[in-house]
Amino acid sequence: MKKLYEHLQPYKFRMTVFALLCGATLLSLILFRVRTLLSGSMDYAFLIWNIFLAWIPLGLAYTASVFSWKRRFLLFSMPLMAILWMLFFPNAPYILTDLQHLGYPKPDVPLWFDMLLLIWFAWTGLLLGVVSMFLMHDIVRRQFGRLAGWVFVFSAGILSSLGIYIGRFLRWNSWDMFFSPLERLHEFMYYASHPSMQAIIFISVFSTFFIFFYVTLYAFGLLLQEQAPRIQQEIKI
Amino acid sequence: MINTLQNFVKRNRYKIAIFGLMASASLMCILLVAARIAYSDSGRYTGLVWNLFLAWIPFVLSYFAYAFSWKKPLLYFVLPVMVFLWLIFFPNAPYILTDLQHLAKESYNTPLWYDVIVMVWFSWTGLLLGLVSLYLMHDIVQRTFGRWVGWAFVLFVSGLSSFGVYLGRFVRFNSWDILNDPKEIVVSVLGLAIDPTKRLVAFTVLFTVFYLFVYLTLYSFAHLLQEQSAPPSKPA
Repeated sequence: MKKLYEHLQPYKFRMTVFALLCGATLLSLILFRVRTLLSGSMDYAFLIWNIFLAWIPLGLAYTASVFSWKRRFLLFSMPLMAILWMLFFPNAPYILTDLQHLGYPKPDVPLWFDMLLLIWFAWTGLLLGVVSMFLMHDIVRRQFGRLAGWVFVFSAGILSSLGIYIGRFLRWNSWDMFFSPLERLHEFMYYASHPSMQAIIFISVFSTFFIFFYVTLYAFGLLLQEQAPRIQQEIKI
Repeated sequence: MINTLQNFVKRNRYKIAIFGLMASASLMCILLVAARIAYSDSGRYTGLVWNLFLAWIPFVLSYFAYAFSWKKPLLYFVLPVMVFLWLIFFPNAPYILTDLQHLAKESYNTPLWYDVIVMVWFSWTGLLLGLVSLYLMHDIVQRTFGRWVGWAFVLFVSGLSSFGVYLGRFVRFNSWDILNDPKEIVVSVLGLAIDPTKRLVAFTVLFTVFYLFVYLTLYSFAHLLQEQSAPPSKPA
């Protein structure tokens, strides 16, 4: 028992984050269930599917981070992992755009309940995304250095906003890239060469948002580290 | 002089960084609303700017409280007043989240997706302002009274602030009502607390749990960063 504890001790916070995200997902599902009981309707059922999709990139990032300590594995399967992760990553922040369903209020449930329900789902999705982004960021930083790490974060942030745009307005899915890649690429090239005003604004504002959010959480993490030495210093005095 | 300043900046660089980040996020929010006004000629969502300003009050108060907390005499005399003021204004920060419900009022002049982005920017900035200021207060309490008291403080504040958000959203109280007319406010709040409606209970509980979840996740995420910066002793 003690040995198990010692083994798990260095991963304490990783497991806490995982448990918290599981708990939040569970609570979101319970809220949805309460809503169906209250209203007898299946509105918002798509949220469940979306939250499931939001878990995929975290699972991938977690697997990648476990294997990333083995050198041989890193060089061969990592690029593949990274591509898969990038394909599924936009699903996590995508849930934020589900907030637009508040724009079509449903009569059977009070508005504030739907608002809380959507806030729960949206925040869980966003935090799932942030944690998986951090795991990938960490792998890149260890291999290629600090600058490369931040370049990775910025490009993943922009690419994922592009992905969200594609999902929200063109209604494509992550796995379309497996079923009809050529066709999709073709279409994509067309849209990319004729970008609409809507696409430009959406992608730039959304990627700024995601990058801002990530950087703030990162700085918050470092702020906590900043505290520790000061406290020790105080105690000495 | 310059040396001390340099030292100060170096020691507090992440606190300064967060301050800068929050300031630029707020600027971005204001720009988004300005763009909306320019595009649609309607003054909707200008109220959000006021709410964001209110959300800054507890944030700034907690920075001050934090700076004072290192001086012992100040800690005991000024700090209780600060904490009280902070507690009164604190609910304004998570309150912005409930402004999401304005999305339900249809607007014909701008596309819905733009309003969603504006609201997301505002509500997340407000919530982060609240979380950082709660963390600074948590840290002061923890240092002075110990770990358990610190977490009890977080629990207590989240519950109280969710109740405050409820009072602001449904009863339409303001933070300064308690400074203007304390007696009446206390009486009506007691009335609500003694005989709570189902809505009050459901809203307050759900909001408190949500707030605690976000705070705890951010807190453990921050420690995960520390865990990560040192590679594990034995590779997994």
